[in-house]
Amino acid sequence: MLTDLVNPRSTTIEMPPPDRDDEPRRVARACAGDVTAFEELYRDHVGRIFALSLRLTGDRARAAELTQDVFVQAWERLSAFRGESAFSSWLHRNALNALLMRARADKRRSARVQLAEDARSPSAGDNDVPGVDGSVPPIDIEQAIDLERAIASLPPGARQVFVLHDVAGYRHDEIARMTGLAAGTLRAQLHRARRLLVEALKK
Amino acid sequence: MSEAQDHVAFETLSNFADGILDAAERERVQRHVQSCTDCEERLARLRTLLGAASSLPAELEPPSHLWGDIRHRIVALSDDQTRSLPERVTVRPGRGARALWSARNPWLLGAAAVVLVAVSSAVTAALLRRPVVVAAQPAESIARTLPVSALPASARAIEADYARTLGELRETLELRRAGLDPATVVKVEASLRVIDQAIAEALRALADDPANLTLVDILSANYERKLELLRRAAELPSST
Repeated sequence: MLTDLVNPRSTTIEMPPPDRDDEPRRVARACAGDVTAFEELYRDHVGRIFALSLRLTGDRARAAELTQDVFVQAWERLSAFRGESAFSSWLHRNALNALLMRARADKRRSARVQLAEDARSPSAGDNDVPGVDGSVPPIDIEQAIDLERAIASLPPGARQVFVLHDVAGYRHDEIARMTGLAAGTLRAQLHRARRLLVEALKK
Repeated sequence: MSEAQDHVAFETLSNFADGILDAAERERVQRHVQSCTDCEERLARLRTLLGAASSLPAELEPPSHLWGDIRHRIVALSDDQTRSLPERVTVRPGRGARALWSARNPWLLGAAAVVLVAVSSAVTAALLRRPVVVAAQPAESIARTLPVSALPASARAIEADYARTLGELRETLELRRAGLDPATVVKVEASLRVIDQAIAEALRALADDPANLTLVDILSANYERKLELLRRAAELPSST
């Protein structure tokens, strides 16, 4: 997984900011079937959606696949966009829903695989449950050098909450609504992620 | 926390950094941190982490081929109405779940499945805010009549998960059909039809509303029910 995350901090997109004034016209043209207009919308927004996908999954190939799905869905659902909010808000809301839905499907699939294989160790699952003794699982020192890599190495549940709260800046109530997590679980996952990262970055 | 001896719990430091402690607790933590180098250092590390996390670039460059892949899919959407689903078999779900079911009579399971399916259909209808049209054909054929692109990735992944195991159980049941009580086989088929209808409803609903998490759960749950019913049926003793 980590090998797919190739130094993402060094690959920041350097592009001029999107022309928001022109966005409604692009959306209208895309709604009418203009693929070139949709490509312009894609160029404006793909960086943020890919960044969120990559940080939520910790896997570059999966992040690309998810980003692709998000934009194909956006194309299919453009007619449902009524312009009541900014296109970027609409797109990001749809993207986040799709990403979290995929995360839940992955979690269920992971649980089924574990059952199917009669997993030999509890750590073979998605490792969402903290250790009974409260101990912090060790993180490889090389992974800890880079924060992105350390985030990618978090257990999925802790990574999701950390990325949404501490990286993307969503509030607790927003995350609870999006993920369906109870407030206590959400905070526990956030504390856990921070503790793991502090430990990892200390080394 | 006894400030002179015990360190502040990490969770408390985390809440302190977020500024969500009440005034009294905040003051206690502040006092302790000022007199405890360990906790002061832990808090500093935590704040460094939070600062770094919020400063990560908001945008990252995707693979260069991504737009080409997307373009290919959206252009194909207009004329992709009849393609069949790809064969994507990755896992064999539920092999270890057998022990979870203790019902000795498989038809209790079948009846329970039908009741649950009826409930999930009602939920699907409520989610769609319109009546659910009961499918007249099995879920597999519904899926094949929907264009690939109409099914969200989650639905395709769930289908792929179950496809192989369901196919094997179906084959086993067909091979054993002649040796089973005909009345029992009729009941099995009736229960399977009800579950297939619910799966088909969920697939159609997901094609309309691909981001709906509840529909994903309903689809997955109905596949689980179908799997378990087929498994129980395949284990039935012969009537001869």
